[in-house]
Amino acid sequence: MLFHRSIARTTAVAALLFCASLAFGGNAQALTISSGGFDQALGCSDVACGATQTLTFDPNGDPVAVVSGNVDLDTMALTLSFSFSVVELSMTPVSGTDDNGASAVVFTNTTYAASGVPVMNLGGGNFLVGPAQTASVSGSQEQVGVSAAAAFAAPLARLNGSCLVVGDGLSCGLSFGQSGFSFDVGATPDEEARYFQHTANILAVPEPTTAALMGLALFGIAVAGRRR
Amino acid sequence: MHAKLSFLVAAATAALLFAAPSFAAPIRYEFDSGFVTLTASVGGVAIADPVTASLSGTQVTIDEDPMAPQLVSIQLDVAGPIPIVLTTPYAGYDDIVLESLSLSGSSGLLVPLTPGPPTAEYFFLVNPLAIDAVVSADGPPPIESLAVGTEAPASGSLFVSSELNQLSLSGITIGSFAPFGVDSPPLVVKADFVFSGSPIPEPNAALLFLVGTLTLTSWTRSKRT
Repeated sequence: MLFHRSIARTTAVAALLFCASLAFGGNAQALTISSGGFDQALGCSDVACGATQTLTFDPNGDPVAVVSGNVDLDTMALTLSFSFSVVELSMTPVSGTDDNGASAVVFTNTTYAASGVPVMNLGGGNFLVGPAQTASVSGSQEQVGVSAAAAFAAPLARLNGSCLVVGDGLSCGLSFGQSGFSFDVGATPDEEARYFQHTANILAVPEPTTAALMGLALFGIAVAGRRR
Repeated sequence: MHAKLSFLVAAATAALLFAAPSFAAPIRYEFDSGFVTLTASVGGVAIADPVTASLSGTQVTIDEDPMAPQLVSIQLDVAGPIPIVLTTPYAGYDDIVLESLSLSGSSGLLVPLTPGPPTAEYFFLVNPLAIDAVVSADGPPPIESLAVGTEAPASGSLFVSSELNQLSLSGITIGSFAPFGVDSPPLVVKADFVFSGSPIPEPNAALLFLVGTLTLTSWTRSKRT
């Protein structure tokens, strides 16, 4: 009985220390995306984005395409990791009725992911992603009127962006492409390459962290032990 | 003799005028088209739907010197008023109007990522980018033309196309305002901007050379007569 109690006490102390080290040691913010999404998506000519863009994100009445996933900014190790997806992102030509036969390019179940991307602390809660960083973009794309949905993967899409930490909240703007994120649009291969650029505005709030969950569980165990 | 000289001078001028740009001097690009997307949030939660507005006056000057590339200056103006309808009231207000928005910076970092031609890709960073905004809101109490200034970094991708003779830029700026006093929670107004511009011709060396030559020719001619 005594032996059991001492084990319980030692375990509780060790657990508390572990929790304290987790809570105060690192400064990683594991956050769940609460809202926000894609508010920019461009398809470009084979030369440059901007005035020559031929496709743009069609929000269909929705101001954004909602993303879901998680983002983790470690302000001590200065790294950013994320994985999130968008159910559907439809892009239609800016002018005219189609782009080389395609009336729209529809991205479905697109996942954007990167792990341990170095960030730079610019002060004032601002963190810079880049330069020369990449992320993977994968999913399927359908060219309406030209080809059926087909899988695509851009493992080295250019990643640019910045994050702002205000209190517990995190706001990140991340841009994927146009370098490393292109494919042909239309029936003529190799001549109608389109660069794509997707920009996500992510707002994230802290999730119940592992430390808090573990602390709660240990508190429960301690209470149970005391009762016994 | 003079005719021969004039011919040589004209040929040299033409060569200078039509030769590929050497990027020795900074090139100023002016706004063709572009837009900015504004989002508002408090503590990582959106309080308004994103608003897209047109850029009204924009110019970017870059120096593509291979030894020391740099973004010389950047100026972005957004035409107002831009009403931001709040889905969640902020400091007692249901909507905020951005009367005007102006972003400017100088001496930015320009890092070559993919060499051109036809399209060179750069990473750019301007820190700080000065943000000047004038906001107003209906009461109670009404706020009229309140100037809000802040600084925030701007970074993104910059592409220079030799085929289109065009610069395009997609950048991300995050600014944090506390427009209604220090007691209100910080309102994060985030601005994404996408921009495309063409170079602005400046009186360059070739033109000056041509003017000088013409003056010299006419002077010699008048002296002969």
